[in-house]
Amino acid sequence: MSKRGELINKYLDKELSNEDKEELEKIVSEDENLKKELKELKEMQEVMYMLKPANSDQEWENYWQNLYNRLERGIGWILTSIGAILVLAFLGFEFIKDLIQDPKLALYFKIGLMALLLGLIILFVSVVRERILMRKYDKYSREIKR
Amino acid sequence: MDEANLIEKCKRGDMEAYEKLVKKYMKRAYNVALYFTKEPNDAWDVSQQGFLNAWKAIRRFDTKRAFFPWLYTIIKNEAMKKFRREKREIESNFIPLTIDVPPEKQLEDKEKIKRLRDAISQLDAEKREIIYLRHFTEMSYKEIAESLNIPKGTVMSRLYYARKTLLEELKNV
Repeated sequence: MSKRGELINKYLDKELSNEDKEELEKIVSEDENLKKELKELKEMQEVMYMLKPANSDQEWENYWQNLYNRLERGIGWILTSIGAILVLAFLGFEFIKDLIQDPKLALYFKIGLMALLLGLIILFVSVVRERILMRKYDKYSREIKR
Repeated sequence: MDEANLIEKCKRGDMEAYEKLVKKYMKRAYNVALYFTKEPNDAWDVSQQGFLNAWKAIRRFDTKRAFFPWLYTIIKNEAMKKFRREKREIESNFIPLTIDVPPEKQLEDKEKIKRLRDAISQLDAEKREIIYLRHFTEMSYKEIAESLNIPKGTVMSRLYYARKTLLEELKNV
């Protein structure tokens, strides 16, 4: 981009250094069109200040409290899930142990049950391993494609 | 306390440090979310979800980077996910900007502001985004560059041409 464009941006954003200011004044003094353009841009900028994002006067004091509640609930859900998994695993283990030890049940049913359980455990371990590997990367380093 | 220290504390699970960080950026985060969602209630929800995701991922955050551009990406992704779930289209030239005219201003000013808002909505998506980010989320050139993943020089030139186009649009509205 031209130095002129850069100086205009900095002028509008009030980021001109003293050196930039002198340079811009020099360019403006030699160019009537630029002087007019700067005046129009400055006027536009002033009008822009009277626009604001919709509903930006929300109840900001509630923002953190609201977020904190959601964070806390997240921790609550994790603990509930861990508890539920442990309780269900124990009950499941006891139930399956009884089935395996039951002499009335056919052997092929017991083998099928064991295979089913082993399959579920492998799937579970695979998902957990994938999640652990994924955690090493910052998935927010790039955005989702539009 | 500088931002890098705050983030280091967050990485160790310090919720008070995170509260400071959230309070510092919540309005800007909301305004970014509003740009994508267009709806204040959605913006509130998406920006909060963004902070929740940021908290979960903060241990992997590289403190050499600025926090807000990272949060911007999270919020934008969250808005995209929401739109996909709801099968809504994210591209729209509607700009969620309200006219905030001080009482002493005349009707003529209100008209000027309304024309400017209409002119912004006539810009193409790229120019509209950069105008919004600079003016309504008050991001610095560097933050915009990191958020949009473009060089700072490109930000400057895109902003300059966006302003010039806006001025032209304003004359035509």
